[in-house]
Amino acid sequence: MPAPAILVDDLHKSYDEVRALNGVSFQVYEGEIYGLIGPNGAGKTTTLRIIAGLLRPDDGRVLVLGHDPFREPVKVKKAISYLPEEAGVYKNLTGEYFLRFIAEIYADSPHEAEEMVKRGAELSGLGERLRSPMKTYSKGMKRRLLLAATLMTNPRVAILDEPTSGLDVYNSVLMRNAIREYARDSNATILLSSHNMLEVEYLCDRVAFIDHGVIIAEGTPKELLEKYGAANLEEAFVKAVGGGIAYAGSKA
Amino acid sequence: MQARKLKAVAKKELRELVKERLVLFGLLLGPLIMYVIMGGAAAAASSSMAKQAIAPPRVAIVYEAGEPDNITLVLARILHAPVFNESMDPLRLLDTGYEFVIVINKSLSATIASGKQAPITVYYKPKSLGWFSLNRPKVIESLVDKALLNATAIILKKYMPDITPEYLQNPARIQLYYYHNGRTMSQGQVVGLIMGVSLAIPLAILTTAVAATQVAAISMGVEKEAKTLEKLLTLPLSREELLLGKLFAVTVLALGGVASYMAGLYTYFAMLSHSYSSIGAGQVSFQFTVPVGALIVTGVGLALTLYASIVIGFIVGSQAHDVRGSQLASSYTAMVLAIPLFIMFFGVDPTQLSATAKALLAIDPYSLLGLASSASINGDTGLSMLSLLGLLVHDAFWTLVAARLLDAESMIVGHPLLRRLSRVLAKRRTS
Ligand SMILES: Nc1ncnc2c1ncn2[C@@H]1O[C@H](COP(=O)(O)OP(=O)(O)OP(=O)(O)O)[C@@H](O)[C@H]1O
Ligand SMILES: [Mg+2]
Repeated sequence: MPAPAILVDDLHKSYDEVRALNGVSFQVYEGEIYGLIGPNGAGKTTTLRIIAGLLRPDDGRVLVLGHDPFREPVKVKKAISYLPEEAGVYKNLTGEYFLRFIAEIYADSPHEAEEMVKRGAELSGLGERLRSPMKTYSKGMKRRLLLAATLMTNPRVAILDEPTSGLDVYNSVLMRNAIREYARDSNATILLSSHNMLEVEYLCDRVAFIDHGVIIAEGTPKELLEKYGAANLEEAFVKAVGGGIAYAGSKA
Repeated sequence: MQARKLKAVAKKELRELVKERLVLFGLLLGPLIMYVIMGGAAAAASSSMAKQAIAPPRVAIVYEAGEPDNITLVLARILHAPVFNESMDPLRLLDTGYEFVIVINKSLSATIASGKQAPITVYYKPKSLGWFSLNRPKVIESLVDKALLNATAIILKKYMPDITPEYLQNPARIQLYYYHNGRTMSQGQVVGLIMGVSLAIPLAILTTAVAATQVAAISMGVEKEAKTLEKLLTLPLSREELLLGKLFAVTVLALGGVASYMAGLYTYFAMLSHSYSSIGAGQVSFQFTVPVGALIVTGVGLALTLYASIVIGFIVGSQAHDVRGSQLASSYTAMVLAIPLFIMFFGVDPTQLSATAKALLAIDPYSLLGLASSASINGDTGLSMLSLLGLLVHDAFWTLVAARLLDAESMIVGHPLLRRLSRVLAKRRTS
């Protein structure tokens, strides 16, 4: 087995009295698309934020491409690209300006930045609308622009927190295709969270079920279906979550 | 209208509002904080005024015609004032410690005897220029009036034994000049100067520094409200690059404020100067041009203060949830920071405060700038440089505080200390 691109080892994290993570461990290998699935409040966003270096774990360890996000933050940040769950836009800037801003921070040369912006503009599919202020964008347009900004920098590791949440079917399909194409073309590692089982089945090489701050099952979609004797991932998920798992989450 | 529904709405509203940190700090603790700080300022102001008010005036008389006449001698007796002849420069007497010097010309007796008002020149050297120093000369004016009245009565009684002093009203017309920092000024000019030092300067500091704090806080509030902060924090930027980048943008705006401030200060005094040169008061030597040095000190000081204000704004804004929160919290912070500066509105010149009071003022960057400006306009280079140094220390201090407080986690979920505090307060209220 190759070294994991993302190593998550026994993460614990509390917000004041709420225990969000109770020992989450998993590994994502290079070139893999890995899905984190779980009900609301299961700890998906918290896990992704820790990997992206936004939150400090109370206990446990994270390595991204062999680097600790807190000891070598800039190294990790340069390799990753993060799409937050509720990311917003600067309402007075245009989409194009936003892409350029992000590109200038990642790129090592003006030429490279230009290339990134071009790729981002294409990925966003916004065409002429890139020149309008972002406050005039619909929710789907904003999300596509943000995904474009996340993937255009050619990250070796992309972390996507519910990339298609709140999008209609058409826009969701566009986003999924973009993610899949990017993974295939760049051999990047992608870690995403989702509520949408269809999406996960379609996109992910491997999946983890997370509930109350612990991983309760892990495997390829096929393995999980077999394990729970389920017809689809949704059924497997309900069986896994409802299967008398120790109540480890929420109030301590 | 149903009471039950009304109650439900009111209850929901109260619960939601009471949980709001700002309501808690602003509405509930705010008035107390305000009064305590204002109380300190008022105590400092009134004690400095009281000290001056009870001090008996030290007066000297310069008689311009050889041997003093009877009226002058009576005046000297009543005022406990030594009499000097015309070879003594009244301004030199002020420099040796007299508070007032009365100059009496030789025709005084003759003028009074003829029943006309006699012109008398009084020079006054205030300890410090403040609203109080406009009142102080009244002491001497009324003493001179009384003394002249008595003296006249004594003299007249010799010739007209029945006459009573009530026949005479205001025998002297007093021409008053202020002497401050080697410059002679009319009372009107003193009013202008006091307005400049105790109103215009603090107001201008307030508006620019408050604006800087707010702009900085709002720039954080915008990131919070638009939910752009999280993405920003995962970009390959060091925290210094991120904060300095933001700081730089706000500073560029703030420097516009500095330029407008300096131009405004210059214009203020130029306008005053013009209004007085057109009157052409004879003895007055003071021209209202702000010395270049004072302008530079004030400009540099303001730039340093704005830096601290901006960093404080970032810190406050990073703990707000949205634009409105950052706006309110920063207004409030700025107001609290501004309170000590209000002592200048009382007419207390901060350069005249005790060393302890000055050190206390220095805790607050806005007031420290007030001190620097006032010191430089008063020509106190040492103090103005010391204040600038203090402002540099402020900048360094707040930068360190920001570097410590503004890590990604504090910006996203709030600083642990603040979270713990709100939790404790919330518990107390619900229990
Ligand atoms: N800022 C916060 N303060 C307090 N508790 C929090 C905070 N953020 C998250 N939590 C708690 O941590 C736990 C995990 O939250 P998290 O956001 O990681 O869940 P999630 O799996 O992403 O949920 P969702 O699917 O709804 O996005 C929840 O119980 C949540 O209430
Ligand atoms: Mg989430």
